[in-house]
Amino acid sequence: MNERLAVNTMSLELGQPGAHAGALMNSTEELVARVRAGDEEAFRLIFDRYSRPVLGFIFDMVGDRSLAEDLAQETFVRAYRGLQTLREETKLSTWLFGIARNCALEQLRTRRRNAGNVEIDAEPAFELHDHARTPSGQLLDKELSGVIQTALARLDEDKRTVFTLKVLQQRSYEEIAEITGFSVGKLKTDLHRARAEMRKRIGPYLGGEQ
Amino acid sequence: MRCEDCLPLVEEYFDGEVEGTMATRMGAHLSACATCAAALDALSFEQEIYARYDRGGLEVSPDLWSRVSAEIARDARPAERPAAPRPFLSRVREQLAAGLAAFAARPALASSLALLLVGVTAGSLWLARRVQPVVPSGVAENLPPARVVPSPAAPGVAPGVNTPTTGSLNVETHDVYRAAAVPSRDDSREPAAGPRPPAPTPAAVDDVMALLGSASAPQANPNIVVIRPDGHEGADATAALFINASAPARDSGAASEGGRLLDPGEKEVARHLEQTQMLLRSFKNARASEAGSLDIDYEKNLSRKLLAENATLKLEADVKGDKDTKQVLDTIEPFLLDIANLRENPSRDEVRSIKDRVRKNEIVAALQVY
Repeated sequence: MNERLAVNTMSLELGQPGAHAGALMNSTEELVARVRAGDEEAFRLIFDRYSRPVLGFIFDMVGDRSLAEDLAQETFVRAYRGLQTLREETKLSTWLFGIARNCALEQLRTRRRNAGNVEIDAEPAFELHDHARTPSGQLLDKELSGVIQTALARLDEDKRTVFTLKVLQQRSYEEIAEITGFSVGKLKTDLHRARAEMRKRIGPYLGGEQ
Repeated sequence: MRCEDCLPLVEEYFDGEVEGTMATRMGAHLSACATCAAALDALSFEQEIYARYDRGGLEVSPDLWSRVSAEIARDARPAERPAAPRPFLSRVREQLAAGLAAFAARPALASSLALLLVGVTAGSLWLARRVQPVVPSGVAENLPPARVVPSPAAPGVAPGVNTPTTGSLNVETHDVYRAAAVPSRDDSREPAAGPRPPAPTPAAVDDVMALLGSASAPQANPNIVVIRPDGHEGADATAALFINASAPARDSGAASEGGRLLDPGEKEVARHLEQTQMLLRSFKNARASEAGSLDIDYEKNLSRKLLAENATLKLEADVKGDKDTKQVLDTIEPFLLDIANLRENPSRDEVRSIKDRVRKNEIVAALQVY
């Protein structure tokens, strides 16, 4: 922790160049250029910067920790191999999320085929205790996370993607459109429906606060 | 503005995606209409709930980079990848090596044959240069560009080794990332076209292949592209290469390196910083209207909560003597303060000045690194 914090603290101290200044001292364009020139350490900085949100996004898509790690690995390996094809270096983040989404969707489709076309929606709902005894004030964050995760898994892929990117990752509509290739109209519709479905599914666990 | 116009846009407004006069009109309506304001409050409440979603404490495991790095290292060292079977070239190389070993014991014969070899080599090269590419029309066009690009290390080699063939074409490359399924074409199904260039004898083809096999080992010239008459062996070999290169590298040894579980206090700091990062991202994405105000109640409330947490965590870090943690928390505090202290319906400029500072300091990226 202290080592990590030391690096991060250096990253936060802008205007103090150093050999290990970390990701923050480098703009995205610089990092991409360095990776293209064969600097693996620069790719490490890109990994450090984006691995957490990418892993979180993939986890929200597939709902499995170990699988999410494998797919995050695949995402960064594909990114490294394809970095030469990135045209707008400033959009590295959306590009990475696009790769992550592809990896997740490929996996979900494979899983669905292997499961004899059983839809992810067919998964049993996460069951808690009697709803009346679990108002939001008493619901532990852990349980709430379980409820949210289960509700997420029951959204279809498009809605889950859009909901995750907007509500959980705070991406703008423009960024989501770039990541998914959806039109803004479609993503607005999907997001509205996803919110409604999520509300319906987690509502019972939130007591009368809604 | 009427409720029928406002309600369908409340989500977009909440997401900071409504701009200009529409945002101004909506802001005015929301401040006067309890029904629409309730819809906005509900979204704000939901967002607070989702902000508590922690994915079961999901963290980037220490060995994830090791795994990515190992895979990347394999890309950087193609010669170290497991060798895929290349029966034809291997056979030629083995035969050549065996022959040379035999000659080594008899110097006079070796000298004579060396001269002969030079002659054969020169003849083969001459033949190879004269041979026109005879990839049947339609096949050459269908080849992916990467397959026919000559190696920069040996310009002109690839076109020179294009050989006429009446059998199926097989493309073999030592660059596994250019390797893929090999297009083939059965000559028997090919319509009789115009006159073909003269085909070299199989022996001449073998000479060229032998020359390539002995002089251009993959390590020396990894991008040479060989188009040769063959059956399906090459295709299988290429596919095998591709599969080998794609196999995930699991460095079991690396998994145990550098791994350390965070203690509860550290987890709390990590979670706090993640929430701060999400707040700042949300704030960055909020858009003010042209001349009007912006509803950032959610961000303000969350800032206040995080500010209180920040103070507690700073105190704990101070007590523990953890200067690094304290420094990080010190760095984010001004941003939390500024957002928390924004007045009701702040102006566009007020919001923009904080946004600019967030952007300029790349604080979100810094927290992502954490």
